[in-house]
Amino acid sequence: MAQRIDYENYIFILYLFNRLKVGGGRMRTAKLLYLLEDDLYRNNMIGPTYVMKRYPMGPYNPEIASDLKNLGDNTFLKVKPVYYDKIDDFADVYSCNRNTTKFLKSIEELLEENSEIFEKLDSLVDIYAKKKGEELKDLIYSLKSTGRNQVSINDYQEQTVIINPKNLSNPKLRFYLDEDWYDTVEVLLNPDLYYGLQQGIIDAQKGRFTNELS
Amino acid sequence: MSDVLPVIYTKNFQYNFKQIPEKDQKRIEYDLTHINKQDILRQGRFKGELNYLRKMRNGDFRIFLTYCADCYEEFRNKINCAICDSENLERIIVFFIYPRKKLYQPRKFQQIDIAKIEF
Repeated sequence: MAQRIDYENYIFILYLFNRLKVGGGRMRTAKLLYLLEDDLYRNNMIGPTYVMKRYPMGPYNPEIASDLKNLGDNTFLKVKPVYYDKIDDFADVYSCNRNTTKFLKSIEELLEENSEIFEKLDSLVDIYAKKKGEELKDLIYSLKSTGRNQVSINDYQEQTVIINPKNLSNPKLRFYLDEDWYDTVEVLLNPDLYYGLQQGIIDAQKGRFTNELS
Repeated sequence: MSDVLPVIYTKNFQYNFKQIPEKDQKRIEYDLTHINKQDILRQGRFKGELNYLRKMRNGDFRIFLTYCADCYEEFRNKINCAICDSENLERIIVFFIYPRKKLYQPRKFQQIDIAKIEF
């Protein structure tokens, strides 16, 4: 049996970049997703399900970097390597493109069904869109109560879990794809599947059929 | 029990079908050629922009198909099938098959700009 992929997290990333309209790296993405998870956790809701641990630069989960890379490689985000003096190296900056918008348009109905959760992300973007990753980190460090224990980030030990959304028992709302939406998103987010389906439709339109398989 | 419905496959389906393991081929071919009206109406639909397609789960495979009688009223303009015929709606058209993904990962081949793909 194929393992379930958390396509929900990919949807949150794409939605975030589509709302931001400006580019961002993995740090900025992680901090905004953390702020969303924290806000939802306090409101007994589950959105993205990244288990955030305390890293030197604040709450983070390395899966965010690989998810961003996958979305970039699959052309759902634009990727631009940018040189940073601070690290004396290049780092990828992601931003939305036509595919981001097209994908979100094709799941509009799903986003509407879960508008209460996505409106939380809208509000966060309205407040923090102009803040850089570093500024968001400082902001999170300045919070007096955050995460599962509702204490300052400084009170969590390095590498310990700050928040694990899946641990929330009896959530009021949870963004979780049912089987039909899961199968749909799986196709929409995989260009080779989407392209294969398109070829099938074109065959039907052009009358390229067969009655036999062997 | 109602009669088994005739099945028509796109060439694309036929090509993809031949790429899957033989033991899966046999099972899938058997299942497709034994579908009746009740069976097809029990299959779920994709959602959003793919809502005109029904999906059949077979092991780790997903199959995209339509039942013409079901498609004709609501969705025929979305697919624009060359053989669409109001006098011949008791049949199934199978478009595509894929193995369910184990990982979401970068494509290994040529990148495709999905914004350019129009149905």
